[in-house]
Amino acid sequence: MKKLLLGLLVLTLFAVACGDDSDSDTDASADADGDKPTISLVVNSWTASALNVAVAQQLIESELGYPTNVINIDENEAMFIGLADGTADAVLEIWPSGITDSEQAFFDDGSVEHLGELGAVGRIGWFVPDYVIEQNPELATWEGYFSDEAAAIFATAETGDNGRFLGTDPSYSQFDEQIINNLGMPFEVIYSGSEPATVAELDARVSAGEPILMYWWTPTAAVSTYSLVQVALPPHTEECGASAASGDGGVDCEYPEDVIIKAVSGKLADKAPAVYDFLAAFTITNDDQLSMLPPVELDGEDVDEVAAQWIADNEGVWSAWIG
Amino acid sequence: MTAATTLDPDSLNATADWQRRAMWIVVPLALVGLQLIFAGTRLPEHLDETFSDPLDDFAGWAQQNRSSNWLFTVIFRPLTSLVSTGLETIEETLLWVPWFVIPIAIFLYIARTRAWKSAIAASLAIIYPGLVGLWEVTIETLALMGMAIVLSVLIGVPIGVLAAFRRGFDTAIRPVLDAMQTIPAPVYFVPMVMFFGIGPVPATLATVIYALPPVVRLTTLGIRGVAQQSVEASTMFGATRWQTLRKVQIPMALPTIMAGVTQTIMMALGIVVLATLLGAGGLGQSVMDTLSQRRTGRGVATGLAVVAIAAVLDRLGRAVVGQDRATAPSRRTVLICVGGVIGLIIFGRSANYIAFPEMWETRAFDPIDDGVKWARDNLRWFTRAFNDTVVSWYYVPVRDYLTDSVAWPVIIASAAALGAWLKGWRLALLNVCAMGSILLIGMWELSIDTFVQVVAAVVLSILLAIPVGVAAGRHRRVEAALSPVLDALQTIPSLVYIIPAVTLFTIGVVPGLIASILYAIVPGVRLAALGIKQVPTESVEASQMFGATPRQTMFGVRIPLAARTIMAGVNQVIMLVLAMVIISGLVGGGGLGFETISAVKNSEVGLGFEVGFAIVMMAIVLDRSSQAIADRVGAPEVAAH
Repeated sequence: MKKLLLGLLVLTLFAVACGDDSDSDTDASADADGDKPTISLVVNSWTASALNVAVAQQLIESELGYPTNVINIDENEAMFIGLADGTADAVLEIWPSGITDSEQAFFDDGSVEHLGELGAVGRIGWFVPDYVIEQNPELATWEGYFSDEAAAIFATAETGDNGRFLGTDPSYSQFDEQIINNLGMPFEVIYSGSEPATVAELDARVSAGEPILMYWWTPTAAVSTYSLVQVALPPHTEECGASAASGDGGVDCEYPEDVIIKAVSGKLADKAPAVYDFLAAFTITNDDQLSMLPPVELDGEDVDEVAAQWIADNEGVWSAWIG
Repeated sequence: MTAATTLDPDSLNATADWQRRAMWIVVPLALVGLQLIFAGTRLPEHLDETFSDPLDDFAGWAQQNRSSNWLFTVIFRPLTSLVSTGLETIEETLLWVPWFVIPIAIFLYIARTRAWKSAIAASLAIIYPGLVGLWEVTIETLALMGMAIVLSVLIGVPIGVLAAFRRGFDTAIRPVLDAMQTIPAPVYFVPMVMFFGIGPVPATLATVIYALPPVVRLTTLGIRGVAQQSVEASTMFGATRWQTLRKVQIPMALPTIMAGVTQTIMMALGIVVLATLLGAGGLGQSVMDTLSQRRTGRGVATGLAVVAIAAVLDRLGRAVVGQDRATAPSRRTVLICVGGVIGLIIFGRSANYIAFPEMWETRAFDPIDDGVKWARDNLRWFTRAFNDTVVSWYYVPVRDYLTDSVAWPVIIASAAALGAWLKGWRLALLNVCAMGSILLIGMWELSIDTFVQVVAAVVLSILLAIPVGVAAGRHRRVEAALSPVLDALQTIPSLVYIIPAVTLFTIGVVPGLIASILYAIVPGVRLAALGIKQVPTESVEASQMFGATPRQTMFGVRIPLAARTIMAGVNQVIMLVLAMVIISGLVGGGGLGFETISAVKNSEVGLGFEVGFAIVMMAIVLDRSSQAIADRVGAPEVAAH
C-alpha cells in the first residue's frame, strides 16, 4: 500500500512539474500567459451581471491576453473587502441605490475605485402581473394599496388579513418594509430568501393567473416573460434618498433610477494598466442586456455562448474599448 | 430518588409519590399564576447591543487594518496564499491529467482491496459529471473538498489523539466540538471574510471548521478503544510512547478514524451550496445558477454530481484502510498498475486527448422541467390546499399564540418544569439559562418562530421514519432498495428539490419543512432499521410460541426492544432538522434561518453571532431534553424484558 501511495505521490509531482511547462499551443490555459497576472471579475447573483462579466472576460482574454477567472459573491461588504485587498479586480454592475455608508467608505479611502457608468440604467420597484392591473385598475399606483380590499387580493395563509409583499434575497437593497410601514399600508413583507425561490413563486402564481406583488427590477427578461408592470410609488425626494443611505428607517418613496456603475480594485491600475483602461471604456446598455437576457433566462442557453454571440455581432462597439 | 430507595423504601416512596402527585397540581397552578402576572407585558429590554456592538466594532477594526496589522500581514495573508496555491495545484493537476486516467486510477486503487463492486461503482460515479458536461466544475469542487478533507485530517487527528490521552483537554474541547457542529456554518462565514477575504480559500477553511468534529471525536474514540494489552505489550518490548502511538495505537484505531473521516466527507459535501455565500464557485454555484433560471432538471443533474463526488470520496476513504495482508496484491501487480497509469497519462497527453469529450450536457435532464410544469398545472390545487392548511391551522396560530398570548416567563418555567420532571434540577437549570440567554440577546420571537417549525418537522420526520425503518429492518429487500435513496437524500443539495416545492406549495414554511423532513428522516430510518434488526431472534420466537399475532409481536416485542436505538435516531433527527433551519430561510421560512442568511449576505458580524448563539442554545435544550426522554422511554422498557 505504501508503495502505491508513494507511486501516486511521485506521479502527482511529475504531473505538477510537467504542468508548469506544458505545451502552450494546445490549451489556452493560464500557463500560456505566464507573465500576465490573472484578472478576477466579480459576478453577482443576477443574470445581467454574469453576462456583462462574460463579455468583458472573453475580450480581456482574447484581445488583451490576460488570463481571467470569476468570483461569485453577493453585492455586499464582503465584495468590497475582496476588491480592496485585490482578491477581486473588478465588478461591472454596482447599483448605487444599494451602496451603504460603510461600503461608501471603501470608495472614500481609495481602496476601491469608481470607474464610471456602465451604460445601463436599472430600476428597482414594486411589480405585479398585467392582469392584476386589468382587473383592478386602481392598483397601478401606490394610492390603490391602502384599502382592505387591496390587501385581500394579495393575502396568503401566512399574512392573514394583510396583503403579502414578496421580498427577495436579503443581499439586494430593499426598502419595502419601510415604505409599507411609513405609508401605513395593510401589507406585510415576506422574504423569499433567495432569487431561485422568488422566481419559482412568480412562475407558479402567473401560471395559475393568481395575483402577486413583489420586489423586482428592470432590465430583466422576466418583465416581458411574465408581463410584469411596475407600480407607481411616491416620487423620489432627496430627503428620502438620504434616509436610504443612512439607514434611519425613514424611506417612504420610490427607488431612485439606478445609473449602474463599474468599480475596480485600487490596485488594478498598477497590476494591469491595459485592463484598467479597457474596463474604463467598457459599456453595456439596457438594449445590450435585453438582447442577451432572454436566450439565457428563457431558453436556458449558456451565458458564455450568448456573450460570445454578442461579441461576434458587435465588433464595431467593442473595438473602440481596446486601447 | 436514589436516597429514597436506600433508606426506608416503603414510607419514603410513599412520600415521594405523594409529592410527585402534588407537583401535577402545583406546577400548572404556578404556570397559570405567572401567566396572569406577566400577561400583556412586553419582553424585557434586550442586551443585544452590549453583545453585538463589540463584535461589530472588531469587524470594523479588522476591515480598516487589513493591509497594515501584523495579524493580517504575518498570519492570515500568507495562510490564504498557501491554501490558494494548494487549491490551484490540485485543480490544475487534475485537469492536466487526461480525464480517462482518473476513473482508471480510482478503480485500481479501490480494486487492490478486492472490493470489486465498490471499485466499479466509484469509477462510474466519477465519470458521471463528465457525461453531463460538468467535468471542470466538478474538479473545482473536488479540489476544494479534497483540500478541506486533507486539512481536517491533518488538524483533527492530532487533536483527537491528544484528547485521548489528556482527559482535561478532552473535557475542554468537547463543548467546542458540539458548538462547531450545531452553529450553522454561515454564521462563521462572516468572520471568515474578515480574515481571509472571499473566494475558495475562506470556503475551504469554513468547510474545515464545519467538518472537523467527527474526525476528532472518532480518533479519540478509536485510540481509547485500543486494548490495553496491545499498548502494554508494545511498551514491554521497549517501544517509546511515540513508537507505540505510531506503530500500535494509530494502526489499530484506523478503522474508527476512517469512519470519522467518512462522516467528515459527508458533512463537507453538505455545505457545497452554502459555501457559494463565500464565493466558492464550483458545483454549488452551478446549482444556484440553474435554479435561478427555473431549470430544475439541470439542477438535479448538477446535484447528482455532488452525490457522485460523495460516493467516490466515501469509497476511496474506505479503501485506504480496507486491506489486509492476505489479499494484498503482489508488488509486481502494483508496479504494473502504476506503470500502466503513467503510460496512459503519457499517451493521453501526447495524443492530446485530455478534456472530457462533450456528450450530453445537463440538458439531458430537461424533461424533468416538463414534469415540474405538469405538477405545477395539475397538482397545485392539492399542494396549495395542503400548504394553506398547515400554515393557517398550525404554523400561524401556534406561533402567534406562543409569541403574543403566552407570557415569556411561562414558557421558560414550563421548560424548567419539563426538565425537572425528565431528569432533575440540572436539566431544569440548563433550560432556564439557555432560554434566558436567547431572551437577553433579543432573539426570542425569531426563536419561537423557528421552534414551531422545528417541532413540526421533527414530529413528521419521526412519524415517517419509524414505519419505514421498521419495514427496512424486517425486509432485506426494502432495505436494499432504500439504501441508495437515503444516501442520495443525505448528499444531494436540498435546494434542488425545494425550489420545485416552492412552485407547488408556495413561498413560506412548508417547502422548508419538506426539505427538513427529507434530510432528517435518513438517520431516523437507519437507526429504526438497526434497532429492529438487533432484536434477538429468541425474544421474537418466544413471543410467537406463546401465540402472539404478528401485530402483537411487532408492538409488544420488537418495537419496545428496539426503543433505545430508535430514540438515538430521534435525537439525530432533531439535530439534522436544526441544520436545515438555514436552508428553509432560503425559501421563505423566515425565523432564525432567514436572519442568518441576511447577516451573512450583509456582512453583519454581531447579528450573525447572535443568531448562531440562539440556534446553539435551542439545539442544546432540544438535544438534552430528547436524550432525557430517550432515557425514560428506552431504558426501563429494555430492562423489563
